[in-house]
Amino acid sequence: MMNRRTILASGAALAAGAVLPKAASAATPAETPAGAAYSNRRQSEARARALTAKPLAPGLPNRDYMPVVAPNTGTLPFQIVDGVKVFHMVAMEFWNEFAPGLKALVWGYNGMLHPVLEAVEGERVRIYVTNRLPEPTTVHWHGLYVDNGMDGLSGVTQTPIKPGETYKYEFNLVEPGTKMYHSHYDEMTQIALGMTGMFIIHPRTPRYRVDRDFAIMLHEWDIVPGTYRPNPLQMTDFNVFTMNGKSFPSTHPLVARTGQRVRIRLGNLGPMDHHPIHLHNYSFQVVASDGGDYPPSAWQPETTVLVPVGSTRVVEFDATNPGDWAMHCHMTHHTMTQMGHHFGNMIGVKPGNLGEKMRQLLPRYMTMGEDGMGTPMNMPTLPNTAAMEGGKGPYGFINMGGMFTILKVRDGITSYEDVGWYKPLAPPGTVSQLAVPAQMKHDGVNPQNIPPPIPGPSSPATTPM
Amino acid sequence: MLMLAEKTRRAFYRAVGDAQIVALGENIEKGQSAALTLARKLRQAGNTPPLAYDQDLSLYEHVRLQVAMDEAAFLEDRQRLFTLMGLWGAQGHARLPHRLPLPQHDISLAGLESRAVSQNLRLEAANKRLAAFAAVVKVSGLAGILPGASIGVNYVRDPDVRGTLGPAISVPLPIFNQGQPAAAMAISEYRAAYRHYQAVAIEVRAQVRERWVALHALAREVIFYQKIMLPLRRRIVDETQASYNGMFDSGFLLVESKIDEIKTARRFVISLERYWRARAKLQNTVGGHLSDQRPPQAPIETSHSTQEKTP
Repeated sequence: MMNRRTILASGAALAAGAVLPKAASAATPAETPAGAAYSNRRQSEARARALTAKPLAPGLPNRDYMPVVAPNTGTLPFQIVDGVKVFHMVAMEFWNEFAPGLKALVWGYNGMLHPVLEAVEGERVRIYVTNRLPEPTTVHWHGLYVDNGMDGLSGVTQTPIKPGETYKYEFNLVEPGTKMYHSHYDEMTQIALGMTGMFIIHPRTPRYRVDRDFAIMLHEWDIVPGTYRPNPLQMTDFNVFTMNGKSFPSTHPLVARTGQRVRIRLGNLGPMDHHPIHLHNYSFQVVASDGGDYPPSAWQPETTVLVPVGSTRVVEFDATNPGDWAMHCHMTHHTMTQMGHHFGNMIGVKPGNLGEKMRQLLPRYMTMGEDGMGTPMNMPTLPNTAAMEGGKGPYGFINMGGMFTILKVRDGITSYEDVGWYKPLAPPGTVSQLAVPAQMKHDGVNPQNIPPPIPGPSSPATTPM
Repeated sequence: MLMLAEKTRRAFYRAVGDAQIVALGENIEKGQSAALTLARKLRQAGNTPPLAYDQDLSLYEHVRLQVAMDEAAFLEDRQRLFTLMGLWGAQGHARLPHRLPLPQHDISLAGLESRAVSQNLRLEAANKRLAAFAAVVKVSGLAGILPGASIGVNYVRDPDVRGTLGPAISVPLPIFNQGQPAAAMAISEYRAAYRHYQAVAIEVRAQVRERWVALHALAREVIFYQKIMLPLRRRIVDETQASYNGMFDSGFLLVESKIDEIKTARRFVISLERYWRARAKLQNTVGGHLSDQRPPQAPIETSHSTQEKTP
């Protein structure tokens, strides 16, 4: 029986149906002309077929692919058994030195932070995961197309791996890409303590080859100065930022020969923060993510690539300009190690008699930070802490730490070992230096001519003592 | 006389303790003044709002008031001491020692009660009174007055009380007045004196125990501050200094840790002062020195100021 309300409702439905195109009301969006144009259904179906297809022969490094260089960490070993590439990952606790003076107990795999799993498209992998942690764990294959039961999500697709147990994951690698893996049990704790890494699946037939291929996992930690274990409860105030588990100056440089095509794969499975990674000098192209390769028409020229949490970005460029080129997160606090955020803003303070008054009771007091924080103080501080900033460079102290490394491009090198600083190789006249007064005068530059100051408010201190 | 000695001793310890507390308060004021200077300079640089400065100013003014009150208490207590000591004129400028001595050894309860019983003047007086009544009973010849009454000797033997000879009398029911009331009164007074003597002995012994317990607790409190809290506070200052050096914590926190250390020293001095005053009370009860070893002397000085160094 229809009353006024149901009649109105059915009338509204009829009216809506009358204005919708016929296809939209009867079929899924993918079957619309527009949906078909943008659908990756064919690709998805191919993936599904590949999942159960007979795997291809296992690929071997330096024969079927050029292994990546993962500075400061390593690639997990494998063996081939009956045509299957077999890995063994051991989830465990171990010490990691983040930077000189700073060690902490972390959780990772096989005694390494962010070790790389490296394989080839079309092959089958069998990955054993042994749990040596005090709590259960699982491994999720982030971005990989796998059977549902291999997805590694505790409670949804599998039971957790209890301490002491070993689980087996096995699947075909159906598509290439810069993928990742991470714990998917008590993620807040286990990811914060380091249980992440990159899973690189090389294409069976690359579209092109690069000369240098680097893999770097980004991460952030909260290690309170004087402690020996990252704090997984931290949500906002992280103070240690790493590339493959190291903060500058412990990050190994990326070395390339002038003219080489360089690929840098960046992954971010840190707890909370995205990282805009900037490379000095070069305009690179963003060519892929963990979702797959971008078509060349979509390659985007950038000098900074934002690597969001839970994603990878792959950039490539031609290393045409030799030198020492910094690559770092452009969030300024991410290039400081263990910066204290409770010190107080001392910039602009005129110390006057402050030190004298303080030292009446605290003889070791020293006023700091009033002129900026770029000069290291080298005063005795808490145990197990790293200097906030980097270290000695060819032109003095390097005011950067944390998520910072250096791309070293050199002419004609035959080894990628430490190539030293570029300073002695810099051609004359190509290094910034103290300006010569005569030239300044010639160029009409007078340092005494400064813009008149803009008057500020009346003295902010209204209660002088 | 003994009461005067005890009051003087207690006044002395209070005055010396007060002087230390004033000196420590002045150090707290220095610390709060340094924090206020930091707050002012931050404010002048435009880095903090007026509220932050005013909060530090409030803390500073509060500390100044506290120091002024401590000074007033010290002057009052010192004057009380000088009055008790009978000092006047130029003697009124006598200086007190820098600090109270530390308790140097435990005072054992063992033997303390017996010493108190043997040395206590009240008990001595009660004993003499008892002896006097005993003599009255003996002289009145109660045995003759009271036929049938037997008079013997009752020897009171107590390990902590000197032996006392007393009468043991049994009196038959009086039928006629043969002087029995006077005899009964003498006996009654003797008994009352005896009971009084016993009561004083019990009271002295109880007071010794009570004051010893209080002194023992205060000694433990002093040692707790000396051995645990003060070293811990010093360590916290060192750790905060290290944290400040690494720019992990602010100058305010550093000053605060130092002030907390000085406040702990202040509580230590208060405990020490209470200890010595409690000791004076116990000494009065015992009626002499508490042990064979004389307590460390803190003589009146005439040439040193009352300024206390930072602990």
